[in-house]
Formats: sequence, C-alpha cells, structure tokens
Amino acid sequence: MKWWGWLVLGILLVAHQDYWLWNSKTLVAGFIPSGLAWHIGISVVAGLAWWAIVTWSWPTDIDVAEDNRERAPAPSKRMTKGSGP
Amino acid sequence: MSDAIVRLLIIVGYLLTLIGLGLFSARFGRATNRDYLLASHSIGPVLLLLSIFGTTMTAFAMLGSTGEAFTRGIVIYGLMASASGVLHSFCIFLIGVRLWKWGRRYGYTTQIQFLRDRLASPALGFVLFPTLVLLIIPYLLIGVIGSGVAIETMTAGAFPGWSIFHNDSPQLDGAVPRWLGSLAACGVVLTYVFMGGMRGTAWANALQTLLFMSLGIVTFVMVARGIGGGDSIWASMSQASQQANPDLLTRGTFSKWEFCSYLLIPLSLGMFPHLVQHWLTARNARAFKLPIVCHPIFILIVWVPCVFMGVWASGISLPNSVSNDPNAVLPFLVQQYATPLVAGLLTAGLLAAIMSSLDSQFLCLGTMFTHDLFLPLAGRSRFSETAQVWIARAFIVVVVAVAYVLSLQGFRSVFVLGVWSFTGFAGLFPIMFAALYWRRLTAAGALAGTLTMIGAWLFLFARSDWGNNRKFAIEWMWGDHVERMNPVVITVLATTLSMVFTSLFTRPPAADHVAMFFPQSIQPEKSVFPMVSASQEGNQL
Repeated sequence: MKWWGWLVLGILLVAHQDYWLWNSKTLVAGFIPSGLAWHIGISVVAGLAWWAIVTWSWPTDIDVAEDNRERAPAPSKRMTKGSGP
Repeated sequence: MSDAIVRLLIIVGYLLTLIGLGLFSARFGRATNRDYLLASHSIGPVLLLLSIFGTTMTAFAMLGSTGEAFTRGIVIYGLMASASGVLHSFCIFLIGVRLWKWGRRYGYTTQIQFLRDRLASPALGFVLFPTLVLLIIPYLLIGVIGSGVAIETMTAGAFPGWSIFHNDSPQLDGAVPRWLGSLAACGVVLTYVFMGGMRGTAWANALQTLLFMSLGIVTFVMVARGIGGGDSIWASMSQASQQANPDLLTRGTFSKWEFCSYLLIPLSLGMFPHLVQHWLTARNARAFKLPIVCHPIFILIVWVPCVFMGVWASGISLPNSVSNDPNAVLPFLVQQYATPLVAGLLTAGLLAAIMSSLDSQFLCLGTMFTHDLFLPLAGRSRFSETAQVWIARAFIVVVVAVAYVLSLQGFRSVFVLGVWSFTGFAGLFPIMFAALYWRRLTAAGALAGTLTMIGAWLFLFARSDWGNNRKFAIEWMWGDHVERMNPVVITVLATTLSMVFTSLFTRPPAADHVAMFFPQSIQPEKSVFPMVSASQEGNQL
C-alpha cells in the first residue's frame, strides 16, 4: 500500500475517536443521534477510501503472481526428510 | 391456521430450501478434495463478496447488535461496526490477498498449512490447530444459541397445550424449544455442507446474505412504523427516536479508553480460519477488490437498522422474558410488528445470517482437522480422497455436538461470547501479519506468541467467569475515577512482545527458505544479537 493509503487509514482511525460528540443529544435529520451519524459517515468514507486504495495502490507483485499459474510444490515438500509432513 | 404456525411453516420451508441448494450445488462439484474444500478456485468477485460478508455477519451482527443497542445504546455501532468497516477491509487487503497468492502458488487450503510451511515448523501446526478450535467454539456457540433463540421466539404459541412445547414463560408457551431449534439449524447446515462442500457453502452464503440484507431493511421499516406510529416513515423514525431512552442516544457513561481499545477487535478477521478458506477460493487476486470496497458499506446496511431497532425498543414496554434477555429483543420486535408471512420470512433472514457463518465454520473445522492434524500424523498416502472427506465430516459432527451441548448450559449474551472469541483471534493477528511481512520472524517466535496468547486469553476469559460477567474489562485508576480497557489489548500486546523478542533471540530463518516467500530478499537479515550468528541457519523446531 502506498504512503497516502496508510495516511487515509490513520485519519479514519483518529476520526473514529469522536470524543467531541460523546454527550451530544442532537438528532440529525430529526432521528439520527449525532454520534451515530458521525460513525455512519466514517463507514461511507471508509468505502470510498478503499475504492481509492484498490484502484491506485493495488500491489503489483500480486498480478505478476497470477501470470505464473503453475502451482509450485509447497516448501514443506522440498524440505529434507523428517522436517515436515 | 394460527400466525405462529404460518411462521413455523415458512421457517421449515426455508430450511428445506437450503438442503435443496446443497443437493443442487453437489451436482456441479468434482469428486476431488480441492473442489470440495476450495471450489476449485472458481469464485468470482460477486460471489466472493457475498460469501465473505455472509460468513462475517452472524448472530453477533443481528441479534447481538440489537440486544446490545437495547442495553448500551448507539455506542455499539462505533465499537464494532464503523471500526470493522475500516479494519476488516484492511485485513482482506493486507492478509487475504497475500495469503491467496501463496495459497494459489503452493496449494494451501488452511492458514495452518501456510504458517507451517512459511516457518518450516510442523510443531507450530500442531499447536495452532487446538488453539484455533478452542477460539472458534465460542464463535460457534453464537450461531447455535442464536438459531435456537430466533426459532423459539418466532414460534411462540404454535403448539399451545402440548407438554413437550410447554415453556415457563407465558410469552413463549407452545414454542419450538431452544434445544430443538438449535438442533434443527445444526442439522440443516451439516447436511448442505456435507453435500455441497465449499461450493454449496458459497452459494448458500450468497443466497443468505442477499436474504438477510434485504429482509433486514424490510424489518427496519416495519418496526419503525410500529414503534413510531407516524404518518410517514420519517415521522415514525423521528417519533421512535424521541421516545427512546435518552441515555442510549449518547455514549455518556461509556469509557473512552475502552472505546479506543475496541479498535483491535476487528483485526480478528485476519485469523478467522473459515474466512481464510473463503479467501483461498478466489478465482484471481482482482476478485478481492469488490469485497474490500463494499465491506464497510454492507456492514452499514446491516448494522444501522439493528442499532436503531435496539435503541427504539427501549421506548416501548417489553415483557420481562425479553427485557432480561438481550438476544430476544430483535425476534420479539419482528413478531410484534410484522405480519405472520413477513415475520416468517424475516426469521428466515435472521437464520440466514446465523447459518451463513455456521456452515463455513463447520467446513473449515473439518478441513483443518483432516489436513493439519490427522493426515500429517496418520500418513496421507493411507487414505483415499473420499476417505479424507469422510474423516473431515466425522470431526465436524464431534465439534458440533460439543458446541451444541455447551449451548445448552445457559450462556447469556451472544455479543459477549463473540467479543471473547474475537479477542483470541485478534491476539493471533500479529503472528499472521509478521509471517507475511517480516522475514526475521522465526518458528520459535511464532510458537512463543501463540502460547502466550493462549495463556493470556484463558486467564482473562476465566476471570470473566467464562463470559458470564458481561461487564468484565481491564480496570485501573485514572485520576479520581476507574478507567477500563477491553482485554484484547492484553492479548495483542502480549503476543506481539513475545513473538518479536523470541524471534530476535533465536536463529534467523534459512535464507533460501525465506526467499520462497520473499522473492526480493536475497540476503538474510542478520541477528541483532551478537550471540546468535546469522550463519547458523536452519531454524526448524
């Protein structure tokens, strides 16, 4: 993951600690408690953040691995006798 | 025909449909272990999304969230749902995709096989197997208890006057008893898992995920209208929120430290054995993109209605049998505010959420027992592929029987049991993360971390009276008041410290072995401690 992906996740986790809304009794749109509304927003932003990350920060070595479709013998099968089942 | 009988018939019809689906999917299977366990790596993005999500959401998400919102309020969404939205996708991205890569390359069917190979340590596999089984039993209990509660509540009054269906609580008299509901759910899941294997499980999960998500929204609208009683859905929701206990609309009394410590709980996803098996079914790495992006939004769709319903239930009068049992709040609301037909379908949706996790857990337990314990000990060549599948099935029956008997012991909250299971799995996350990203991790380090986690988890779980003390937390004085923290902080920290220090004090792994998993690494890392020479390679336990 690129540096900005880690940064976005860090910001989301900090925003998750919304202590400023801890005792707020305001109802957003007349029925959503403000603390709940904030966390609904975090869920939506998380979806957008992950869309950006899988679009622009997808690991390149994974796609290379896909090109090599031949299955290799597992390392345990290459070990010396008695080192693995 | 009474309303309760209508609901019961719909539930029975749904359970029979699932068995039919298992039979149908079995026709597409090939008679190989790889097909039975991994659906021949044929699962595309949509099916992968639905099966991963269906497996992740269980009675914990439906019954547990509604019940906890009823007792603790909106804090429950921040504690579990929004944090999971961020961190579950993090686990799928950083653990799932990379694990899939090595699973595809070397043919792994479980995470134990990967860790045993990565660290060249058969001993680690033999320690991890009982650890994962131990941790998954509370998770299984959630589903077994939840299915019994849902069926019992929704069939109340179906057989009035029948002595076998007598219940001491007048509201539940004539209902299918919990023990029978749980038994029926276990029997149905066992049947379609046995017939359809992973392919049947993935298909059933997809169907059940669509069912419980859509029916969840229908339930929400009906309950909002029923409790609020306004002219429009908006007026009803507004009315319901204003009637609710105002303390549940804020997080006033909940410890901020404890809230923060819950951030570690979603890391448990990276070590769920049943999730790992689903990851390994992916057709290609790109299939993971859709689950990663949609997971937070799907969690929102399931959890927000449940949290609202739990909070709103505080504003109405509930019978004692419901207000004293948080697990029964959602089934009660469904029974109270939906027509018999819709209530039956909604119960099917509730069971769908529960059973879509149970099936994967059953299958992964059988897989781990056969491939990570029995065959390595008894000798793989002695058993045909058919015999291996039957060995897996026998072990599944034993574990389900144990979980079923434990479920009859009267545990109170599926939420609390779930959090304890997640606490243990989250404690193992550092080991999986290090195995994928830290070349210097040694088998001794992973083993020490695992043993430390088991010790810490058992100690803390026992201190909580095996989950019966619902308020258990790590407590300390902070100024003039007591602060609290979830025990997951202890399990994660203890495992990490034990794993890192033991790895650094033991011989580094053999360079050629590490290179199989880290192709870019040519030079092995040298030990930071002079008494351990980097040339002393081998590291096998």
